[in-house]
Amino acid sequence: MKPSSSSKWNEFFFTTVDARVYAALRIAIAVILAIHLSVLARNWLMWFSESGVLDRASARANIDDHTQSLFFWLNGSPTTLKLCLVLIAAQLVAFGIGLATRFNTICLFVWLVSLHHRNNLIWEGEDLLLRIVCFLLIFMPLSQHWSLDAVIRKRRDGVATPDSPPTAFVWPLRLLQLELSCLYLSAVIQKLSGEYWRNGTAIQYVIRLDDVSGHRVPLANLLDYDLIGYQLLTWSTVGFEIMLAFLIWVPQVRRPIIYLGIVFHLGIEFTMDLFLFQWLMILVLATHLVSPLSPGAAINPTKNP
Amino acid sequence: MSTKLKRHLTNVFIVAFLGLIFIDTYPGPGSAWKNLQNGVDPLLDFTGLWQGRWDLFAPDVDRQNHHIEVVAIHRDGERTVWRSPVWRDLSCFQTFVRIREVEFYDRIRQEWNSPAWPAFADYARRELIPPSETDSPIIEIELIEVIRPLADLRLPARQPPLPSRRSFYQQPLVP
Repeated sequence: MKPSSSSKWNEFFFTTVDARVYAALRIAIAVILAIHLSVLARNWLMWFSESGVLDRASARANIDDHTQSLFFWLNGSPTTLKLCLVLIAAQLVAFGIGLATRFNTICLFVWLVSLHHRNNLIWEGEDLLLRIVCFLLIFMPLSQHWSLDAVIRKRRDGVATPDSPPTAFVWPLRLLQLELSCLYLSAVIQKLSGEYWRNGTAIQYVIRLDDVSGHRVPLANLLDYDLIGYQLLTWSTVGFEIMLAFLIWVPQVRRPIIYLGIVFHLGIEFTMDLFLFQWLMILVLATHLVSPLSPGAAINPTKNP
Repeated sequence: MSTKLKRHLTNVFIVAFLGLIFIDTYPGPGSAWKNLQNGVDPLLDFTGLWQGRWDLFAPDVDRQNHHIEVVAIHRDGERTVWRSPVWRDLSCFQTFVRIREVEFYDRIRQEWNSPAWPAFADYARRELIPPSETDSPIIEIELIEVIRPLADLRLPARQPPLPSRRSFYQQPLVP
């Protein structure tokens, strides 16, 4: 008998995975956020204070009316802003070690949104993804493993370590993976709306941009190509993105596609300066390597998220 | 809360989240889709779940090589100039730690960020413009985008070529 759409839905979203996946994701995101915050902290007052590049009134005028930011409500003095920085850093550490994990995840998301809305001129695509990732982390069971919360729970409840690792629903991970597919597809649509991506010459420009190239492997010197060479590179970039958006959902080819995707992003990482974008993409891409533990457990999951 | 109710609520959340990101991200046909996007926009803005554009060097990559100049015009006619960094001249590490400046000087020139121009001009006057050799007061601040030609292009560049300088904001000052 053909499985119903309802059972397919359940199999897709409500099977279980090893909960250590979520713990690993928490730690990796904490590291990425720590690097982000360190870089941001260098010019903290320049970006967010009243005497910086964008006072609150201008920031408010430069972004949609419905957006909100804690920094629109706080007084904006350097002291307040420095205290906010210390608080964010403390909550990030707590998140990383898994202390009051869900509370700190929610707070980090609110801080991130607040920072993004307070000065919307300093972010790139990676930051947009990180913000959505942080939102989805709220719904993940991040503290079941490798966390102080787990240690505290164990001491309080006196639960012995089980033989098999705890499991958790896969749906928050699925949403993260679908977000990634959405990102690739959106990038393809944007690219194909540009003449240079359609005619295959975009890569010759990209590898010569001052801010992203020239510091690492000097591709512009290596790729002494003619039109066909550039066209191959340009169109294969679009091809990779289409592949990563769609084929990654085909179980038979998923693993090779993931490995190709990781190589693709590492290639970009070693040739272009795009901050942590490639590492974040690789991290989210790698979650596809996680296999559901028990498709049959859709009815009786062992843990709720 | 019962498991069944929890499952229903989770399903509603999944459908709502996926629906919102789809509506927000993809250009749909006709005005009905645009109206739908406008309808969900306030919710996405408020919650911080807006998707933005994943443009990644698209669509027109050759417009992206530039730096910003801030010109202070003094009463005696002297001009003092500050230039944003040319990222190619910096090391890999320096570009990494100054990534927010890279983004800022890329975004500030865009027309849709015009509400931010007066604040940046004011900041530039206070913090960026080097001290003048004369005591003549500044009477105007001008923000200029300088398109930098891409080096060693093997293929023909855009025809007609992009303008190399574009003044995008002038702020007269009362000394």
